[in-house]
Amino acid sequence: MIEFQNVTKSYPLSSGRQYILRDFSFQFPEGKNLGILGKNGSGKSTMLRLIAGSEYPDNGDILREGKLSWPLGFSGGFSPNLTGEENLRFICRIYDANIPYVSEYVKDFAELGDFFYEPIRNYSNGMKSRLAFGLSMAIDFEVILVDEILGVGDSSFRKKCTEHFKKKSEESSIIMVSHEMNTIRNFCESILLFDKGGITVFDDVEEAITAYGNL
Amino acid sequence: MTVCAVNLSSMITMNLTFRRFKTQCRVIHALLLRETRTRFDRNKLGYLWALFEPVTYVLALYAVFAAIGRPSPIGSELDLALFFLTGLIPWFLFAHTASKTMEGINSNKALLTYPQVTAFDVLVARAILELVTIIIVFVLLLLIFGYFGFTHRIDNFLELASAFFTIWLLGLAMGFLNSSIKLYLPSFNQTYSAIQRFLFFTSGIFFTAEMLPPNIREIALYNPILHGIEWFRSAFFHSYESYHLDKSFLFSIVLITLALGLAAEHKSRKRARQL
Repeated sequence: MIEFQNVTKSYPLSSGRQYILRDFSFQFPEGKNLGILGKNGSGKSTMLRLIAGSEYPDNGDILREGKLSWPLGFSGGFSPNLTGEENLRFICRIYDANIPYVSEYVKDFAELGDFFYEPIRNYSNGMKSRLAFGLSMAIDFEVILVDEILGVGDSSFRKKCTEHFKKKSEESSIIMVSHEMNTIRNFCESILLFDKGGITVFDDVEEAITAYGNL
Repeated sequence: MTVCAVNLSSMITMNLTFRRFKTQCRVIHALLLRETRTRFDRNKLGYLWALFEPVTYVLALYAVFAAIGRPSPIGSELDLALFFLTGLIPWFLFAHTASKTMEGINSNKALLTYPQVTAFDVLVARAILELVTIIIVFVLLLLIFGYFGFTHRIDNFLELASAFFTIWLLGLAMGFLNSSIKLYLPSFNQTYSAIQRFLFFTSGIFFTAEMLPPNIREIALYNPILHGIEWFRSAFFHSYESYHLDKSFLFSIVLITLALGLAAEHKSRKRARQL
């Protein structure tokens, strides 16, 4: 369950405050996959971070129940001085996940080899995202957040990501930001459309895509 | 019917509060393990340093006092080394807890991207690690001292533990307050280390309140750590009772700092996540 209650979020710019949300209330439909559409800079990613809880609203409350993932492939939550394995253990502990199961899954998935036991600061960007992606697949998140990225790495690894993600999407619900209309069609059942005037909720995906095209 | 509804909703709230509390315990536990790793396992010298730092201070003070022929400040039963140790341990407990807690947000920024990890958890985990470390160091040093013949029977264990805990709380409160100030004033470190140096010389690590000239003592007694160390020594040494210890003054300062620190952490939570 995710619910926004009178949420306001703005950023100070030199030209004045820019509001992304103004007194916005919304109850996310449970068990439904939700797409977020909008032009560049309309606040989609901020919305996702607010949902994820990695950013706080200026005003209002965001209620969250159940396990929410970080945006898929996001690797900013790793501590560079700890090894991949130690980071994994920490994340398992805070999400109450089974450490041996997650370790096996991620070792098999992320193809890190001995790097799994190396400090994260020695990782390439690709390795970090593979580890992060593997973790979001291995932990039993109830809601998976997607910010454009559905796969990481080279083309064969990307394919593997998509396969795992499809399987995962059968048991978890998804909230995604994407500019790919086909991905939106494939996964989403309702849409939040960000426009200058505000936010519109659509229960019909095609209708939302047409409205987005007319922005 | 209404009564029933109210009960149900309060039960749901209680259940939610309980689950949040469980999550928070899990997070602090995970942070503690993680901090221990980075502090000690990554850096094997960390173990030795924790032990050697107080030892070098005791030895240095001992050498200076022995060289100028100053007798032990409290009675003859006491050895000078134990006198310094009982000043330095509470001092380090305060100073390390405060400074490690103060740096908590800076060194754990990445972890604040997880919604269940708050600045509060990070700071509390650091403070707990410091408390445990100093307790272990203190016990080990007493054993080492005992091995070299400075055996000593602690006068009042409960009082000693209370003094220890109160001083720790003061360090924690100070750390909370400082870490919030630091979010707005990144250069606060320098200011604070000047304050801490001043406190070091007025906290009674190498003197007792009784030894000070009355006019200076009057000012020094505004330093809460001086009271903490006086309390600690009164509990440790059978032959020492402090005439100047004012526990209610110490408690008041601890409570005020704690309230300010927690309020400041709460107010600056959003900022901690933005930086």
